[in-house]
Amino acid sequence: MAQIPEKSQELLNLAIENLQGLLTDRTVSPEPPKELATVNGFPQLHATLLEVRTAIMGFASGDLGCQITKKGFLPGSIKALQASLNHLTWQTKMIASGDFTQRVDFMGDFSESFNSMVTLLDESMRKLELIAHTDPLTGSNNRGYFMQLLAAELERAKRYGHLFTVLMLDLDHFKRVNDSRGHAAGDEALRYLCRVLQTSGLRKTDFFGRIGGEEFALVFPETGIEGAAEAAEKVRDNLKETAVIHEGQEFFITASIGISEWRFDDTQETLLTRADQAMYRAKETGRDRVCLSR
Amino acid sequence: MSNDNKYKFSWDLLGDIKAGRPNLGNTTRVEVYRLLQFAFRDVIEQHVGTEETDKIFYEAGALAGKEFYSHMLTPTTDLNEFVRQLQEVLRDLGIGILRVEQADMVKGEIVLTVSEDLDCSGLPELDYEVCSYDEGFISALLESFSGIKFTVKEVDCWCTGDRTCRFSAKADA
Ligand SMILES: [Zn+2]
Repeated sequence: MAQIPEKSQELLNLAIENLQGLLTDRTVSPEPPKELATVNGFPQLHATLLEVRTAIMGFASGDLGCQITKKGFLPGSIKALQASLNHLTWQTKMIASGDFTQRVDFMGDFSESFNSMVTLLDESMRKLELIAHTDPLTGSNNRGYFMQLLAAELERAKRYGHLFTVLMLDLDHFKRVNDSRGHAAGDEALRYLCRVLQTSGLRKTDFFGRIGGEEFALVFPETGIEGAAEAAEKVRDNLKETAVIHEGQEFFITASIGISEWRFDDTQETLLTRADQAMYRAKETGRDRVCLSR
Repeated sequence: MSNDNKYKFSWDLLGDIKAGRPNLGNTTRVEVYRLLQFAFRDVIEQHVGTEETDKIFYEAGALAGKEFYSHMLTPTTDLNEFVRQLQEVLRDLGIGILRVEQADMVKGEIVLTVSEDLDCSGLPELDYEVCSYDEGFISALLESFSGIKFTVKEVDCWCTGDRTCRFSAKADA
């Protein structure tokens, strides 16, 4: 083997020690030793290892932001890891903002667990949303959610100038049903009403909600007051056609209905109030009828 | 640049592949695509120099990206939805695996990576990024989506030893 001159051997030892230090020591100098500063390529190698080291230490302590400027396989692999972790961070942010379509496919076993977590979250959110939006007794939209839908409809109408109508429906003599037949019978009457509403030919875009004890509101998008009156008459007819059956006993219910048509400067309140007033007129003029707010 | 030229691009130029290739179908090898791209690059560079060549590839990518957006994606204003669609179609067509590292549409800053990139994955190590066509392609996708002009730079590339291509996109001020 060729003899290495003593001076070179010293430099080589120093270089090995320095590189070893970059791998194993807790603290290192940001500059290579003076003696090696002029050795061809050594400062670059030192700088690369230092950068890789800093990046890995950053990752280990949760800092993904480090800039890796060096090229080559090792820095490249670390950048690929950085890209994956950054992407994962972004995906998590998206999930937090309600986008449950995110799936991970580049992190081995972690991907599978992560994905089932997102699926589960998605399902739970749907369930919770449904619960939050639903009236537990009748299964129809509750007041809060109905108001949300109505607000959206108002927005749409304003933006596109599309007209729509609101119906207020109140069961007649509901208190009498409760008092004479018991609350369970009253509850059954409300459920029966909802079934009738669902089977009275409402379109996909129509919606309704239970907004008070025995009071329901319906919205017919893209429908004028005449069309809504027709639909309301159908509901009224269907309602009294079949009996409510509770514990083997049959009884009949009717409803008073008021209808208002959207006007450009309407708020939820003004629109519902007009429908409400029309509904009270229906009550005052004999019940089981439809009145329009013109 | 005027586009009233003999070779003006239109999506129809891609042809009726079903009719034209009843036996071979609509796929070919990646090598063929690369052969074409790198042969073009060489000859164009000899004619107009390196800088112009990069510009030409960027602009060609942008033209392709614009057409791609209008023919392959459903318009949306939602960034997540846009990214989701794009990921799906890039993967389905074997163009690459797109991932978002950062996206701040308010600041107009986006960092994307494309793994297994059609243009460069597996190439020998060079000391420069090669995906200028992709840069233009991505810039046009982002512009078509947002209505804002973006400048896209490939900051890491398979060719510079990085395992994945990373693109930094910034909205033009
Ligand atoms: Zn690349």
